[in-house]
Amino acid sequence: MTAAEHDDLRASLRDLADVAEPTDMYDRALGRSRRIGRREAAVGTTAAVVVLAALGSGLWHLPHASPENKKSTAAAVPSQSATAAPSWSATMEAPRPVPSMATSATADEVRPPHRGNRPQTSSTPATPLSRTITDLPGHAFYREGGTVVKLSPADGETQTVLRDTTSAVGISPDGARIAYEENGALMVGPATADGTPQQVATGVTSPDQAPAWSPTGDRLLVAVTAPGVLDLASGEITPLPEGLTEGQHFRWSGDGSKLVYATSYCGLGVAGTQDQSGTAVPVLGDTQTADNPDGLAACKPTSVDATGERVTVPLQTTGEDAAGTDAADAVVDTATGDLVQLPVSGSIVGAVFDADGNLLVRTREDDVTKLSLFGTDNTLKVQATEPSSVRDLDLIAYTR
Amino acid sequence: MDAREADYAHFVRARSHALLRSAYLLTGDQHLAEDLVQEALARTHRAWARLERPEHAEAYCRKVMYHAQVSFWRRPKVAEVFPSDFEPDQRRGTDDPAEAAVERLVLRRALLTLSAKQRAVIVLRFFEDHTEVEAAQLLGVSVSTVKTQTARALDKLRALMPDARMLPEPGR
Repeated sequence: MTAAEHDDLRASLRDLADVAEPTDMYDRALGRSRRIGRREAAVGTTAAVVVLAALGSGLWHLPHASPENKKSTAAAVPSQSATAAPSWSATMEAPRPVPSMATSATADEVRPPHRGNRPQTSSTPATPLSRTITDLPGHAFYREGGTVVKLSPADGETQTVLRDTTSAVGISPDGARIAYEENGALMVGPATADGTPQQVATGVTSPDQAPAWSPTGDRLLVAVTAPGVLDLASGEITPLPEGLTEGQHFRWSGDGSKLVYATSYCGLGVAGTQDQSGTAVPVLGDTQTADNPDGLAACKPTSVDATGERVTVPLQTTGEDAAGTDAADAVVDTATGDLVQLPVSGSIVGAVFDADGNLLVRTREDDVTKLSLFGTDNTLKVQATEPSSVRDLDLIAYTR
Repeated sequence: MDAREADYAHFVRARSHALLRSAYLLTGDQHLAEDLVQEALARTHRAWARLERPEHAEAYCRKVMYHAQVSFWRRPKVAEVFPSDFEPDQRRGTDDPAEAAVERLVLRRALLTLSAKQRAVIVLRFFEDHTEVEAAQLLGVSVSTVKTQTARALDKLRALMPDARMLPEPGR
């Protein structure tokens, strides 16, 4: 291709860019800069030292660590003076501020370092039982645009299982079937390169609710006019209780006992499958800066562990909407709203639970992408370099 | 206002429209473009003391803007496509303003169907005229990623705009 051949595209882009109207951005930019500055000034780094020490001691395993544990850990760490990092780097990877111990009356109040919409990693990576990608069981599913790709690490094979879809998709817990919406119809097909889908329901919408498979694979939670559960055998859709109809992006826990969902204000809720309404997860989506100092929000849970205690989300900031990819980059404790620290290095660019509660974490460091599989007991079973064939795709699901 | 603040104010007022033009192509919406440019300018303000020359400031600001739009942990915000949003614009000097408006509508819609990264490489390569190496450095990805994403983006645009003359045939 020569440059001249692209001149028409260039001209068209310039023409389209002319639609942008000039605006005086000075006051807005300065105001935003000052808000960033105030937030940075109000916090320190001591709590991070405390929490990182806790991570080193393995406490990350315990999302519900007792106050006694927290207190003894905090007390064991000497206070250190805060050394302010540069406020920001061009790659947006500078550490975000963390709540200061100075603002907490007791060590009981130590929370993990919320770092805004920055993925959470630990400085003390765990040691894997295996570093061989073929030891990674099951299937990982990736997406880019309308294309969904299935990676089988055991044999390194990738296959495209869906093309040109505009719908959010749901992968069955056994990795064998894929559900998606097409022109209002709910389609289910084999998650293979040449599968023929079948229509299983109509009148379905997908922007606010990807088809979410029950752990047993016999039901799909979908949005019709309101969220409901489709029994695949009978075709019957049972609406969720009225107290849950405002929820979006419902996901099942692996044992089928809980639903985790997003609220309209980009917080999270948890409901038992027999409950008439849900319970809000603290912190996320809370617009009170005292309770949510970094303005954290989660508009789209993507997977839940076996019991509903932890959920993966793309971490966002309050005021954002749910648009964007489905690649989660944080694990949230549903009891406390805290971000669960993961003992991996690099930036987390994907995190997803399978229905058994295993957690697959995708990290990127120095342009190398790794997959780390944590078992239900939080042991790091496998950590290996991801095949380059899925380099530019988003991780959306992990299945048996 | 001290000299440093005055320099920053001058930079913002001189370069905002150029930044907004790129941001509009990335987001497809005036308000989202303003939000993106505001964030990039604010981050640039935080770093202003470290940026020695105005050209450094613009490069930094653009880098922030592209990273904010394509990074994995920020949700890229783009406009939804509503034809009614796009009123024919009589200002342009074309023979047929209605046809020009339709062409812009089609291109905008096609751009918004690309992934954030694909849209970024198209804007960097064909609007800002960066080389593949420069685009890779700006986005923090490999040159081969830029090549792949550009090729995929052009393929998609071709598929979405089969009548457009603007896109070269594959392999040429």
